[in-house]
Amino acid sequence: MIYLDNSATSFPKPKCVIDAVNEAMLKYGNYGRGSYEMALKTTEKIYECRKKVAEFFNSPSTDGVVFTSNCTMSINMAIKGLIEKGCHFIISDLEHNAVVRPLETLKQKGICDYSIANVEPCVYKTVQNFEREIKNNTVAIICTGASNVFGIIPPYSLIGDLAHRYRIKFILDAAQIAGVRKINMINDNIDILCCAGHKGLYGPTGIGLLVFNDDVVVLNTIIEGGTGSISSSYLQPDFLPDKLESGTPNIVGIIGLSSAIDFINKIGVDNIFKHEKTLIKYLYKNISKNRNINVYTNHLDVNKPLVPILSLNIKDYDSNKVSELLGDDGICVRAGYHCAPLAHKKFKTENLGVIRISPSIFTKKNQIDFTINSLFKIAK
Amino acid sequence: MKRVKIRFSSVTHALSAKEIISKNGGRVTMGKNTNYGKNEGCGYYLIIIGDVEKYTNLIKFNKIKVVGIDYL
Repeated sequence: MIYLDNSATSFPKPKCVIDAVNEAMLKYGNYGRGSYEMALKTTEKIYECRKKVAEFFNSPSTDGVVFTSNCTMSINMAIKGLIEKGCHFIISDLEHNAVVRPLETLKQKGICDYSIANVEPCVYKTVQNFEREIKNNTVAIICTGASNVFGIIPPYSLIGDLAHRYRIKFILDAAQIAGVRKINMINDNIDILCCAGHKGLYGPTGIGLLVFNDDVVVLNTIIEGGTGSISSSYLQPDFLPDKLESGTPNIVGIIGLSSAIDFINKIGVDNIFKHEKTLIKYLYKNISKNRNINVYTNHLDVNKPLVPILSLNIKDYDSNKVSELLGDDGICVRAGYHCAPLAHKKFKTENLGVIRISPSIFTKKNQIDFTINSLFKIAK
Repeated sequence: MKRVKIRFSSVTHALSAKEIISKNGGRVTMGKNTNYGKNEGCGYYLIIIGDVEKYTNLIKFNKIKVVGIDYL
């Protein structure tokens, strides 16, 4: 099997992550509640991961690292934690449904409104597009770190800077860049970072992150419950991370993620990016010459910041059909809409969807060669 | 040797304090709060042995939220 669907979920997982998950199942119990040795050891393991996450994204606050179940959950918590009746958000035209759907739902309920700003090849035009949408009631700009379909990296640091100049929050959907590209929450002007643990971070599924750049609580809760702290009160604690972490967290997932971050740090985010980018450039160079293959982004253009994701179509074939044919050759790619209708509208790919190819640190050049041959076979 | 018991609401705050104290050479143990009568509910405490004033000030300097301090 050749696995090229790492933008959805990275596979395989590093051995150290599998070992950590196994160890967690065998050795660790509940977190933040008990006083017996196993509970305290588990609690220390969770704290250790919190610290690693804060360091990984250069957040100055360990308390500001909140564990969720996935990136969608984190984004929902960020949006719904910020809303007030009549408020306004700005998003990019590359956003995933994790951003669009909560906002559209709130809009239809008459709670808030949102505007969509175009991401253009010129970074300054892009920033201007966002600035044009700012209103008196705008509470946040939400922008993807990279399109999950086309790999385009919007100028998010500049968009964050813009948000701060207008004293509004900047939320980064880092689903496609966490672990692939270095993120510095302070330098990149990110107030709230949302990401999953199971994609570029190489952790298990079922663990997500909501990271703040300080320990000042800016979000209201969308769920409340037991936190293991000030339990005599009927009210939710007002401090992080407890305020936003009700119920027993995914302890096994957190311990797995902790090991995954060690794995990434050992290799280096830049080296992971370089490896994946080299493979995608090689793929692009080979297939872009074929007239029957339509590739949507030029990975050889140094002026276009792209994460190592390549999307294509063959002739006018339905992308799901092509995906099935690739699957017959043992090649795993993602076809269709990728839960990102805005991005497909932008690229006019609503009718066919696209085939998305996304490698990982484990992908080898001979696997890309095999994929090129298989694509050529289908494109004949 | 002087001893102090510092109470925290959040286990994350307790562990942040524990780390700082350990890094600065303090002897520290952690346990679960039992101060139900003080209307604090669940939480965790640290018992610190040694230069308790220094370590207490370190916790304050790092702005870690504390529920209460008991000099033992």
